[in-house]
Amino acid sequence: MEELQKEINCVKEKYDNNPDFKVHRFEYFEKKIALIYMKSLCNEAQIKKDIIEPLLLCEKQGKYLLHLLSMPSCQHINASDDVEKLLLQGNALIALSGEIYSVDVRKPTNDQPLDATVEQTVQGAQKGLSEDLTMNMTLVRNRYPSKQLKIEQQTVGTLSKTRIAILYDVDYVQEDVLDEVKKKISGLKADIIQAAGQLHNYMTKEKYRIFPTMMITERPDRLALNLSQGKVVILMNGTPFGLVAPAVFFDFLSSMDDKTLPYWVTRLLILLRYVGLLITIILPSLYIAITSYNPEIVRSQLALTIAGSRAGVPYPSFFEVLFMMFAVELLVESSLRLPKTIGPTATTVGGLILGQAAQQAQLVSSIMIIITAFVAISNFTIPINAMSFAVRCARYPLIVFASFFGIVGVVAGLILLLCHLSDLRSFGKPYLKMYWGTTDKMSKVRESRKE
Amino acid sequence: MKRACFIFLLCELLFLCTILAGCAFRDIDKRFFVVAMGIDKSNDEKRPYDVTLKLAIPSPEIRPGKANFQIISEKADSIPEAVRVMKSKVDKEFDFGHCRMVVFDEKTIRKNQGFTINWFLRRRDIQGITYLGIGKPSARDVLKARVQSERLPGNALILSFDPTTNTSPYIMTSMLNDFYMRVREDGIDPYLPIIEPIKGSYNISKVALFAKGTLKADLTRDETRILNELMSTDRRGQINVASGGNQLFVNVDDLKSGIQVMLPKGEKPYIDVHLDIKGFIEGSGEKLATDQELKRYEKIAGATISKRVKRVLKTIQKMEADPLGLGLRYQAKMGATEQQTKDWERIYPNMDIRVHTDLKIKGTGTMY
Amino acid sequence: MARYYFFIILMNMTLNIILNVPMVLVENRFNGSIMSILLSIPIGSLLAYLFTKGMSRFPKMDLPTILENNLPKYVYKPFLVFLSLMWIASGSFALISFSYLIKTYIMPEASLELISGLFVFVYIYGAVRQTASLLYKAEITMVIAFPVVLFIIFKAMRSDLFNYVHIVRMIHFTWELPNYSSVAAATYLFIGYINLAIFNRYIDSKKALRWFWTVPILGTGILLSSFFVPIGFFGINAIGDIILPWLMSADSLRMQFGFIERTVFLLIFFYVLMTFLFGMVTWHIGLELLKGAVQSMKKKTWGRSFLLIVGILTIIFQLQVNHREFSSIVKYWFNFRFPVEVLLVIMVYLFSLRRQNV
Repeated sequence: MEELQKEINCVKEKYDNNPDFKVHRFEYFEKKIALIYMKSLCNEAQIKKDIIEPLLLCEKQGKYLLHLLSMPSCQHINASDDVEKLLLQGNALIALSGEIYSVDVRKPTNDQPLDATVEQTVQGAQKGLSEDLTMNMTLVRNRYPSKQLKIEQQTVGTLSKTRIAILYDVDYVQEDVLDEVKKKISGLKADIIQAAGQLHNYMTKEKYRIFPTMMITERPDRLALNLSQGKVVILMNGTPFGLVAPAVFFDFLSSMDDKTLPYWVTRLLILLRYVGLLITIILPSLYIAITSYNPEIVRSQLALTIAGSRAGVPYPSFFEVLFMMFAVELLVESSLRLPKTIGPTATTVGGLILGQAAQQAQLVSSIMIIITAFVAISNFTIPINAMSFAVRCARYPLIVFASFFGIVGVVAGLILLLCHLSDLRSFGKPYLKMYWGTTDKMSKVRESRKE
Repeated sequence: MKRACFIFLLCELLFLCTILAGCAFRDIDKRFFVVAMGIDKSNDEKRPYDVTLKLAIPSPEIRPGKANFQIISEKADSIPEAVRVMKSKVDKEFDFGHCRMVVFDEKTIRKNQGFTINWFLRRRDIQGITYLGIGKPSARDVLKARVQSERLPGNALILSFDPTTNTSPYIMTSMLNDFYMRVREDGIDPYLPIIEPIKGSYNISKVALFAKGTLKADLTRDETRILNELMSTDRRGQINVASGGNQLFVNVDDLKSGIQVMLPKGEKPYIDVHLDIKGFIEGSGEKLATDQELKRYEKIAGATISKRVKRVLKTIQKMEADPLGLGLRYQAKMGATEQQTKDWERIYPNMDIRVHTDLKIKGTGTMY
Repeated sequence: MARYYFFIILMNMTLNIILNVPMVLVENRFNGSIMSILLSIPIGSLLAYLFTKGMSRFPKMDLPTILENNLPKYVYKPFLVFLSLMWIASGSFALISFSYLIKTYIMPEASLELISGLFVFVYIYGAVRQTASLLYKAEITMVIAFPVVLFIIFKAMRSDLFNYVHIVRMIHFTWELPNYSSVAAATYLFIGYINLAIFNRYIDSKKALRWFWTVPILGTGILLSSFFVPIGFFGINAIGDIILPWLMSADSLRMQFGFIERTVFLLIFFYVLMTFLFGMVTWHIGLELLKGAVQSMKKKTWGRSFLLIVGILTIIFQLQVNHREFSSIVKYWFNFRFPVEVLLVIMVYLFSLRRQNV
């Protein structure tokens, strides 16, 4: 006991200057009672309700102790416990007749589910995750009420001590993936981890990475679905996003709407996304290749139209393309960070005025304006944002290849991209590979559990 | 440090782009598209080839009749030489990738066709599907003609020769690769359509036939049509079958021609032509109310068609031309060595021609 | 995983028109090419069957391991090096003939070194990937490209300019004695199975044998169409004037309703895809075989620099010879390759028999 007392004194000295460190002393049962907690982390109303009020109602010390210990979060502290850590996690310590008890009175932060804004669906669930880990676990549990769902909690980040939870279905989970996830988390070397994407960055070996190998999602329904597919879900306190591993290329082009819409509608939408993906990757480079190397590929009509509209443009085609791509990227980037009220103005100024004027001033050809718009719009059809960003990056090497080697360069660039993608592994699973029919099998209801 | 390096490299790459792109990089507006070529025979002995190029002048807006083009020509001792000299007359590089029409005049193509078209075949950018034709009075006149409906320079001719846009049975289409095959193979002879510019348009309704490597003669308009039908292309039209006092027009829906070289033992070899025509009546001077009447007309019309076809084939046979590839059919039966080629040359001029027509009138349109 | 076996075989079959196979066949068209084609179908299929059967007795093992277990050290190591060079040579020949093709059809103004340099770069990038990744890539490429090739063959046969008469004329030359170089060239179509030498690590060859009957059927179809379709367009005489008969034939086609009007470009684009794949596969296998013989090649930088040297040598070789010389070298190579292939197949099959007895 003396050890504990010493430690409390030590903590007290350490934090004495901090205004939010509270040591509250009073006397009752003719004994000294001390209540120690961090004001900024704790819910004082709860302290009053759970700790002080019962004290006044209890006439004997034994009854009060019984009450304290009956609270689910209360704990009798042994010497070995790290008092400081408990305090920083939002516990209140009660020192009573030489014994110390801790009660969890943490003040919840942002525990309301937020609206799904990043990954919207038309007719699916409209609420996403919250910023509170406990709440998020509740949300997932609600959607996946299985006794097989296992949750393991730990913290990451030597300074931030961010609490994370690893969720998986014990029966369906792919053991090799789970082992690798755990291995990677335990091997993490980072001070501050505050967002899901950051955790993803630390968990992948490759430093120079374009494509996401873990799914970042804010939708609890996607998490529940992925749990049933045997994937591992990582939730993190303080961010409304969860990570899913493994994730392959095709996952990033699937939307939760695909499950709610009729079969043929879904197929059409999926096809649309893949066509959009192709267009957004190759169209700018194809324009360079066709206008500057091989105009004989297209029909005479189109070739002459392009030649006519380019007649007044003083710069070579790749400048034209880079210029317009740059304008669009700026537009996207600026409207991302702007407050919602100014957003539309930026779009109008950038999109309408700049595009129109650039064409009239003969800085770019009118065909290029069409291509720019086409590329930008088809980029937005990719449902997962991480992939959409990756694709935006991937088209620039292709532009370089096209300006050096023309149409052969475009094909070569696509091949290199294909090589890169098929060589990626997401936690041991091939990233790009033809899965004949296995996705259907996955989404089917499995009556019997895995043997 | 590393990141700075990377950004520096990226800038370097972009910079390199601008420099290196010089080698094969030529923007579309720095190219002169040759949309048609004409080869005439000049009077100059030393420089027999008079080459004309039709260059498209692209404009941002496309309207009918507003097709701008430029015509330049040069005399030289060969086609490549002429093209090379002509480069000094224009401000941009020639691009033959969209040259879909090559017009010759009669004198150039009369002899040595294989040599004349060699340049076109050897150049990779001239397409194998380039259309060939003979220009009358000269190739240059054909190229110079301004067509009223033309939206893009040189497009009118291409559209006329394309069987999907123009199904007129009077237009025979000859393509570069096919022409070459006909020149090189024994047992099939090339042909070329004749293009005559008229005011605001072209008239393409005749065909010139080659035999034994030389230009023989033209077929008349009607003969051209029948030959075209025998070639079993997709081109369809009406057949005018005058029978008795009645003018009957049959709109052909479907025409299948089967041509065979028959070599019966101990008999004179003959050419067997079988025509299968299905069609509707488009015009008739009489009312055709009953089935019997239709059947009667089918028979009469069939006989008329057979007679006509036979006459045309006889004309072609007299020229010793073989655009239908009868010699190939003979070789397919007998073998493809030199001996067979000689045999064929001997027997072809005296062969009988038997034509049988199966005409099926499916209906009479909206009226009896 | 057995399906990858067929994609690899299909890749080799469709790519034959780039690899100068029709060139040899057309050259000998009056002296027994057709007979050689007819002969090569059973020969090629038999070799493929024996090799696949042999490899299926060594599940999850590659050729270096098999040779190591069955041959003394001083025999198998040089043999592996030799095989590795054979593989790399086939990739390099594809590279050279395709860069000639690109130069003539797509980029007449660029220099050959630049084009081959691009090829070498892509080859190396692809060849140093993991073996399984190459298989995934092969599947994706073939699923994209093969339907297009089929479409072009179908379109060619439906064309107005395609005369069956020429083919019937050609068939009159069937009863000639077959000649060795035509057989050697025609069997090259079936050679895809040989890549099992490394891919056997991932491909379940026993399962592949169940669908083996598709190989002779596909081979017959593709071989006959690659020989006869150009003849249908150009006849039996004119075909001899043309270096790449298939490309000229594709140029006689026109897609009225396509984005690209000239079919030949479509053909070239999809053949670029397949040539890159072919080069990656051959160079990858060459490298892997070499790794079996020379331990130090297992290091990343060693393997990469080896391929880089090979690439530079290829470019130098290309600069030294003109197209005619190159064609005759390829012909010699075909003739040389055939006995090596037979030797390897028989060897593996005998080893597999021994394994069964044990």
